[in-house]
Amino acid sequence: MPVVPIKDVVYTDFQSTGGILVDLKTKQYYQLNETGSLIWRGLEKGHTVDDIALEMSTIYEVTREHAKKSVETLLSNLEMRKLVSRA
Amino acid sequence: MWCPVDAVIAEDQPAIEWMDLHGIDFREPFFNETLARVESEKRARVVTAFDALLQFEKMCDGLSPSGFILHSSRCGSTVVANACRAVKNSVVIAEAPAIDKLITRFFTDGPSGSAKELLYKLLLRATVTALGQRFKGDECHYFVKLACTSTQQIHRLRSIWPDVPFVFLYRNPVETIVSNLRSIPEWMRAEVNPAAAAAIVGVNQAQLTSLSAEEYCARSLGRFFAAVDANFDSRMRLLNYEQLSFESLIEILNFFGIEPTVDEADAVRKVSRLYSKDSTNTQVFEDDSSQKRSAASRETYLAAERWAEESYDRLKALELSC
Repeated sequence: MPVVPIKDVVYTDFQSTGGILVDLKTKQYYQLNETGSLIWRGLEKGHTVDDIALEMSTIYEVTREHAKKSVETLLSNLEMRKLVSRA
Repeated sequence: MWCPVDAVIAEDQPAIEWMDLHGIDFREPFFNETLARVESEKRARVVTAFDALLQFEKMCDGLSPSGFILHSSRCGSTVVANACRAVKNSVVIAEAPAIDKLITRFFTDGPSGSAKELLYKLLLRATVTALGQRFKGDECHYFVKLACTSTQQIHRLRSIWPDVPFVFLYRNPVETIVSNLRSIPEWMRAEVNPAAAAAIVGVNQAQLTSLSAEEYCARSLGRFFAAVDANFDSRMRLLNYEQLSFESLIEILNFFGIEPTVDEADAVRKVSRLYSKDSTNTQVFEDDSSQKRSAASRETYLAAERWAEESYDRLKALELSC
């Protein structure tokens, strides 16, 4: 099931080294590191978990399995905070 | 054309006040003077949550800054801003409250490496972008002059705009203290924001009340100079008050990537001869360095010597070595 950002969440990038997610409803904000930002930007582009894991494994020279596990971990975290949803 | 004009507290929450600044000409030396001029026009205003800045940045086709002007107060930075203003199609935002209030948050509420620090950096970037709009339609150069206290946050400013040139104006500490004591600026009024004041001066809040105005100013100047010294790089220029001239103003414009036309150079020459804070552009500039030195009290000399001279001399040496 594809994962999509909630529309009331704004992501702002800081020189591709990380960024901030602001939940406009709750006014809570969350810091994403470089890989978290890469994952979020992938979600914004409508990429699947597999697409994002492939991109991560290419950039950071990790196995695709390891990358996929990292993506899933972050997505669970974001889902728990209601920043993304399973479409 | 909505622009952030102030950072405020609304319903106990940090908020941004916006104003419609379409067609405005920032010709006065300071941002707030321009707002005061257009006060009677009753332009539309609105207050939003701070995060509106982040959304606005995404859709705003603002200018990228051509250069930042930092300074140690009462040292000629307004002349530099006026020289930037003399360039056609330029917009100069000088000491806009929304920008400087956000920078002040770093002193008290944005520990290094924290999510809040990053949030403030992004809000600051968004504010600068939102103020760099084409108010008249044809602007292509954008200069930002900051409050003197913002100098202490130079490391954070450089991390947000690493490729944008910065110029730092400074002046002999004794002369600067004399000028500030004659007309105490808000940044020297510790009661306005004691926590930020303590961080700027480099003491704890309890100590603030025991400081003389001379020591308060001298300590701050020393810290401004030291911050610049510690963060100096090839994208920065130093300009001492003693060196202010038509030629040095042109050099700064060149450093900002501007090659003034003949007409613009003439306008810069005029700027260099006038008292910078006179918005009527009639008062001739007179160097008052020797007059200020002779008017300085013994306490002023002692405070300058103890808290500011060493870092001032380091900057002068740095300037000579470049």
